[in-house]
Amino acid sequence: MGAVDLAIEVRGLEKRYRGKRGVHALRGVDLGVARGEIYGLLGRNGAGKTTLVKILLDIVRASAGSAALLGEPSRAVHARRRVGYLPEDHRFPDYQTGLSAMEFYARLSDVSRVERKRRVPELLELVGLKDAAARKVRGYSKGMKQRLGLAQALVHDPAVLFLDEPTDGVDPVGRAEIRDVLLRVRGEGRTIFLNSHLLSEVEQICDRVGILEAGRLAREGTIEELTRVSGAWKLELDREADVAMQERLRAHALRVATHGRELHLEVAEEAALDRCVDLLREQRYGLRGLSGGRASLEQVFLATVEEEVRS
Amino acid sequence: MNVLGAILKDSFHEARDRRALFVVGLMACLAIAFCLGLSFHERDESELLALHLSRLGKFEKQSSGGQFLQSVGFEPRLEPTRRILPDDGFDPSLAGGWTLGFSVVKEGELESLQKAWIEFRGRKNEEAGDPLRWVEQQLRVQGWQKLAVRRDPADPLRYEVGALCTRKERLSGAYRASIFFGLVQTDDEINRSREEFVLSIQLVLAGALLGAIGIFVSLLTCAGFVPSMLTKGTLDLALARPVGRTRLLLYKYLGGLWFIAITSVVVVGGTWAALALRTGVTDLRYLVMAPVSIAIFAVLYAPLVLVGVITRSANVAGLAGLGVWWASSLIVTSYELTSGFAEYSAGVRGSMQALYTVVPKTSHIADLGQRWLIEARLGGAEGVGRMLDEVRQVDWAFSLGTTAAFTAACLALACWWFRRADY
Ligand SMILES: Nc1ncnc2c1ncn2[C@@H]1O[C@H](COP(=O)(O)OP(=O)(O)O)[C@@H](O)[C@H]1O
Ligand SMILES: [Mg+2]
Repeated sequence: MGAVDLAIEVRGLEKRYRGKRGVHALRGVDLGVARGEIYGLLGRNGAGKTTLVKILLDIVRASAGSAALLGEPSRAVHARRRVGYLPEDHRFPDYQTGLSAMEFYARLSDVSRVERKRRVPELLELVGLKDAAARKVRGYSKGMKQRLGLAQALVHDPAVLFLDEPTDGVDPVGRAEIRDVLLRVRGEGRTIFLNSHLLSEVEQICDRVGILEAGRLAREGTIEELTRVSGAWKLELDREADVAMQERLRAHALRVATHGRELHLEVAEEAALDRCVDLLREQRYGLRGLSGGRASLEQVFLATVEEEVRS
Repeated sequence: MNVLGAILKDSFHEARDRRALFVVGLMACLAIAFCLGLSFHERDESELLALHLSRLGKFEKQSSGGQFLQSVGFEPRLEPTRRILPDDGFDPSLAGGWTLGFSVVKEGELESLQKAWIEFRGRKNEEAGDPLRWVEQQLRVQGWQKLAVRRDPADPLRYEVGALCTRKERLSGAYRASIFFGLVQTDDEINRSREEFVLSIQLVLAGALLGAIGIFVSLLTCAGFVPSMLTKGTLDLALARPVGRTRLLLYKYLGGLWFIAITSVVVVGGTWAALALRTGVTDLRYLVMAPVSIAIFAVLYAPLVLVGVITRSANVAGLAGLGVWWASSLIVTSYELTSGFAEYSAGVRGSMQALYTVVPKTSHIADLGQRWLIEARLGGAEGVGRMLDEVRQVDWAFSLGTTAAFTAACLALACWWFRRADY
């Protein structure tokens, strides 16, 4: 994959905030997002997700490393020509109406009057703010503000879209509305970079996911890759496996754990799983279900975070 | 252009939302209404001569005890006033003047009037001179320059006055003005021509615009513009756009200037038009007050932007703007009053000179505007000379140069700070 094909490219990025405590927010991040890809960056609060995006948009300056957008260094003003941004906790000036805010940000991106006439009503319609467009933003609900934020990020038809916690603080109904808009935007061929700590959101929308923990990119891959766990299996039994049974299983499995009637096994090869099932059947345990090979994104995330904390 | 236009418009939206536009608009309306409420009346010279003559019996004097008035019954029968003709027999120096015949009721009335006047003035032992000369003297006091009073040889009760005046503004009661739609009449003797009167009103308005009211309100109105742009969560939206930070901040500065420019054009243009409507004086020079007030604001808005960028607080920025304004006025005034601290030690003098060089000299910009307004109007008239003296003499090039440097330095520092910060 050549560098030119990358919409977002980050190499060895470090950020140490000035100040008394001198927070080391990013500790050497390497990351690439291809054009047209939908990338989700997961991480706890304070992991450094927002810092990463802000460096890409030149709102915050990196301490070391490089960041590029569509092949341009992110410090260049024109790198932001085709980039849209929905900041987390954004605040529209409250003297603006939905319409005037759209006009204002469109003009800052040098969208022509003709284009604005076409795109602004179109986008307000898309995010369902057509009827509220003439009202002052201060009267908007959190969800409406968030949808307006999405519309302003799209107003200049950007090739790359940064969304920082787009559903943070929004009630479930509002969240579903935003997700609908995102799913529609998803089909338009834009590169989307989504910051979130909400796993379900990322799972539904993203092609590829990175997990940022304490300023480092701990894991990265498609959701397929991340959640596939070779050798892990879940067996549903008709009763809980007793201690003696577990001891016997340990002769064949690397790891044995029970959660009520659920039995979790980790084995080196599939033949070992068969031997475990044989052992269970010998002791007249009824097998009610067998599934495996896949952890939920949540499990992967929690495991990764735990691992990082330990190391 | 798109970006600049957007930011100028946004500043206007912001000012409108703050109700600042309402306050500023109200003040503009008040100033314009004041001008509309003015009226200026002028009396003909012929009318004035008759008026002055009929007032011969009304005495007044100023003394340490205040002003004393006394009225003696003197009601001469006045004939119509008319231009002096060559065959009227007056001295040729009175040519172009006015003549007026009048008759007293009984013989010797003029002499007793003169005696009463001497008594009123408290000079009992004074020899009463020729009553005709006394009448001339009384009329001279009213502003007439050349006078001749004579008896009618054919009628012992009838007299004739010849009078000439080349400077009408000196005649008492020549002009009258009223303000607040006639509710307040000015003194009968304002001794100002129409142009001078309008000029004095314009100077009052200019003083208010350039000083206490205009600049004060402008600074407070625009103090929040930069901090509101820098509000957390708002700035991100703008910084993600392909606009450099220097450009963003300078345009925001221009946004404040734009709002004030529109306001001052409305106030200056409106008061000018109202004055022109009411007095017929259409001299355009007063309009220079619009660019002058914009220039003063441009200077004081720069430190306000700087402090706004650093503290991100509208209140602190507003106070800083006012502080720079007052402190610099204080320094400039005291520097001028003490002739550059000439009588102080070298250390004090040196540091005050340095301070004087650095601070903006907005009062000089105001002076420059007022000077242009006064100088150009009515070249040599006496009252104008007096007004001119009130305007200080300063080294304009030095003053304007250092003021511009101060403004540029504040803006440069603000841009530097804004460019280097993480948001
Ligand atoms: N402007 C700032 N100054 C100092 N520290 C900051 C600043 N912004 C963020 N941080 C710190 O950097 C770390 C990463 O923050 P952030 O990038 O906002 O994380 P996230 O978006 O993943 O929640 C946190 O510890 C946060 O406190
Ligand atoms: Mg964040």
